[in-house]
Amino acid sequence: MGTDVPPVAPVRPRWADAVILASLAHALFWVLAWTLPWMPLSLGEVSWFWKGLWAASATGSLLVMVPALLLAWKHGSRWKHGTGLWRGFSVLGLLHYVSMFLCFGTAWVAWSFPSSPWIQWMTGGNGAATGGSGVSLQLPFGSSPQSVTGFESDPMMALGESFGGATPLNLLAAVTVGTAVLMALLGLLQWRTLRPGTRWAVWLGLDVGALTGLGFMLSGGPTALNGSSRSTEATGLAWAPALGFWVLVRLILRAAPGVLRWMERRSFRVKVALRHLTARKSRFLTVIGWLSILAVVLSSCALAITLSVMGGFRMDLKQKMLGNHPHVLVQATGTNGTQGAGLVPMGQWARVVRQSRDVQGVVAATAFVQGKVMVTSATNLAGVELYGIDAAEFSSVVRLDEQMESGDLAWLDAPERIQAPRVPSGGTVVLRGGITRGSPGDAESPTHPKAVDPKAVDPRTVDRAKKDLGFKPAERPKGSLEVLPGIVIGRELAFSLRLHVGDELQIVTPRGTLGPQGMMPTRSTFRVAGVFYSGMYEYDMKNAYVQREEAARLMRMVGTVSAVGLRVSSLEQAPHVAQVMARDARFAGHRVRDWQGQNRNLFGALALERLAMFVVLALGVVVAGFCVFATLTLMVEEKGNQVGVLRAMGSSRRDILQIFLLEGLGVGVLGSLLGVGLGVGLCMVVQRAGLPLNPEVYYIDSFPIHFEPLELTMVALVSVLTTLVATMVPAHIASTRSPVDAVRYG
Amino acid sequence: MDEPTETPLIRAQGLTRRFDRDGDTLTVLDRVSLSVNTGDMLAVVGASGAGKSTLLHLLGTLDRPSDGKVFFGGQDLSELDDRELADFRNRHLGFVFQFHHLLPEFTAVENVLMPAWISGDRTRAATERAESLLEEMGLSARRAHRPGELSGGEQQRVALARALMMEPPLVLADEPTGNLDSASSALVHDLFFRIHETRGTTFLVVTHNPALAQQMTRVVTMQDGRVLDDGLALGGGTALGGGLALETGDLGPEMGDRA
Ligand SMILES: Nc1ncnc2c1ncn2[C@@H]1O[C@H](COP(=O)(O)OP(=O)(O)O)[C@@H](O)[C@H]1O
Ligand SMILES: [Mg+2]
Repeated sequence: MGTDVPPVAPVRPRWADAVILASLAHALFWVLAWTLPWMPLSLGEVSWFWKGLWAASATGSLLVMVPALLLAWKHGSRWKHGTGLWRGFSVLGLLHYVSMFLCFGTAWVAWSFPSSPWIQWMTGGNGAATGGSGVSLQLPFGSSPQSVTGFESDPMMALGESFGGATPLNLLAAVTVGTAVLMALLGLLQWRTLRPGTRWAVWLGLDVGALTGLGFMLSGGPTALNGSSRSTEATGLAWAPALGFWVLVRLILRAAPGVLRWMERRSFRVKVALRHLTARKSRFLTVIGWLSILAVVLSSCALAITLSVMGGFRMDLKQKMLGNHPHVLVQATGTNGTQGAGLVPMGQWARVVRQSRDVQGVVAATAFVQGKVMVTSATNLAGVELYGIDAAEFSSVVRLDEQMESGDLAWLDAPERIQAPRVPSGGTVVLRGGITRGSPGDAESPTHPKAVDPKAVDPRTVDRAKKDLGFKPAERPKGSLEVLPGIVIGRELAFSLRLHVGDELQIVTPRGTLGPQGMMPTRSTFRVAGVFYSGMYEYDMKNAYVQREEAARLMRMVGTVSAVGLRVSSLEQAPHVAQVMARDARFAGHRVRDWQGQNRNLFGALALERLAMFVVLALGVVVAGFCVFATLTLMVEEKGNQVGVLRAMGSSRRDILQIFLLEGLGVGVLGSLLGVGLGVGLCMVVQRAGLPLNPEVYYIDSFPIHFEPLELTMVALVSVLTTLVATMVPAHIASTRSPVDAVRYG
Repeated sequence: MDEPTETPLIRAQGLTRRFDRDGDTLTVLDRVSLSVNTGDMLAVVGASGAGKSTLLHLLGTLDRPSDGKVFFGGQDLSELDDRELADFRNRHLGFVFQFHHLLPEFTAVENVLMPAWISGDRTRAATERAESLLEEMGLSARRAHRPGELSGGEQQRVALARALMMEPPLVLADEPTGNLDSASSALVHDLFFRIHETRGTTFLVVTHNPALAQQMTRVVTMQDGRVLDDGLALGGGTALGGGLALETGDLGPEMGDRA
């Protein structure tokens, strides 16, 4: 850690320390080389410069290290920590060199003589696929010579592939990697036996390196990559927050002694409290201090992570809901009294749209027709919420155009342009968000368990419905498509009805005509102009969009609309805008509701759930508080006799109380800061690296994260407060302890 | 009462301390009255369990009497609340305990400085004073050592320096050399007299050490919670005060031999 331990008598020479350091540095280098995508080793084409450098460093280290290891073998028994360790180092080190050079040698041979029997034997006959001048021999530890044919930038993958068979080459590679790991472990075990100055220098090097690395990353280092695979890029990006956290921790550790000294100067209470928490010699934390801080760290970290993830889910839901839903909805309530009782079709919608656009905060407005209809295809039927929209205008209010998965929203206005997509049937499409699923036409798609299985619907029901509705199977035109009005449906509906873009479907409305046999529903045929994917199952299954006039005709409300939807400049403004408009005389006879008002129940339930979760997790904080309580009670027991002497020297009860409360405060503040920091760091890593979720189960492909600064502050505050409360009892015990009892028994 | 002209530095009046133990009341201190004048070197002796420590704690306001009062310079200490008492102890009393009770987390000089820090004094002058006190105790080389790194005698000398930090008129010591070998004890005793001489500090020392008791100007013997014998009756306070310098002067070389 620090420079706190008095130097161990140097019973071994300095160069032996260098062996330990070399083993550590070597391991660190390879860990970095494997995880950082921009290390020179992963250059797609390795220049002669790098080849030379690699060869030189390997040979150079061989020339230095082999004699050192041999000497260690000879003299190690007389050094501290004796024979076993140094023999271990020697054997591992020499093995490492032998196996590594054999691997290198194989690669070089493979490069020059790809089909030599040696290569065939080494690779088990299949590793060296010969290809002209190049060789695709994969060295598991991803070293340079094989890079002549282009480097596989993910050595871990190469490792996994190479270990597919127990070929001699793979065994050699395993020995090379394994010995290096073991040497690093040996080196780590010997860390404390190094001279303090050496350790200090290593820490300095690590800190400077980490700072430089962070600076490099912040200045856009990893984004400047080219040609790296996605996974390495992701690990590279995940490095930034991790490194940031590391740098932060190191900064705190470095600044700690100075800060502590500064704080001690404030008051003797702080001084005593700090000395109780910090160890006698190193000025670092005592075991008790660590334990109580750790308890707070863990609980606040868990709380921060949970809230961030839950916030992420809520944000995701909100975004998806609003993706297909206007922020503010204006509906007509009818002019003949009874406010809010019944909604009526809106006649003067053009005026409402115009006036809405003038309202402060409103960025777009569109009128639409809405109603429930039945949709049937050749195989199935479903009830949908049909929207009649002005495609261009509607997209400025809700971003339907961005959700189009296939087809085109604009085709609603130009039905003659509707074309079937050029997706091979039964093939797979890569969808936005990177999820690969079966195309809607792929009936056997196993990735679609949640969608309604048409077989599950009783065929008789379908038949009866078809008969009742006068369904006529649509003939699929062979050549050019008959021009029919377009309709845009959701992905789930498309799957359920087995429809592609270009297919026909029929819309059946309940407002039919009175025929000889009673009410006859109206039927109209539409052609699928597009399929959207909002990420909300509800929308993807239930929403369908046609041109406004078409819908108005179907719903028998030509000339009127159902509502005017508005988009406001920011979500948070929606309630305010809705309020302003509701009070505006120009919108008298209309009901104005914001998105939260429309989904009050859902968001209320979400808020309640979050509250419940917070309370449950706060219980975790209480447990941590109990831990602090226990450790501080121990501390009071241990420091009890000091209370007596402090009182004798003139501290009052209150001083004693404050001393122990300060200790609790210190534990709470440090613990909650570290905990929340760690939680945020972990969340950022998850956010960057993307922890995958099964999209079929959660309807979302990776863990969503959303940080709410207010909540994180709350977490920190709750942790600090709990710790303080937990400290009160032991602090009170300490302050009311009789000084005589403390003084009498030393 | 005999000398209305001089107020005693500290005066105990009918001090009684009872402990309740399983329903029985144990009277540990029974109506003890005692006056200590400024400049006294008072030894309290007596068998173990006689109530010496209890008396010292009551005089030092670390404990409250069941009955009776303690006056310091005429001020009734039972009228003070916890904060005022703490302040009083800080300014007017120095304690030395048998088990030195240094704070283990602090260095020698920090321990000596602690009373000043408690009083809110964080000046450089205080530090200088603490260092000079340590020097006086012959410990300047040990200033940065923690108690764990000091011998028993050294710890007790640090404790003495700490007791003197605020220049209190009265130092209360409870068997200060009870745990020390004779050489270290002599060194500490020597310091008591030197300090008494140079600063006129009043000492009240509970001791089992006959050599120390002999050198003191006044010896109070206790038994079963009562004062059995007050050495004051032998000499007479003021008269003894004059003879003190002479006595200690005589003792000087003798102590030097022992040390
Ligand atoms: N808190 C207490 N409860 C009960 N008895 C006590 C307590 N403190 C001291 N005593 C008793 O008071 C008596 C006197 O103790 P103390 O003053 O320490 O004697 P000394 O210092 O002369 O050896 C002892 O018998 C001891 O057991
Ligand atoms: Mg005693």
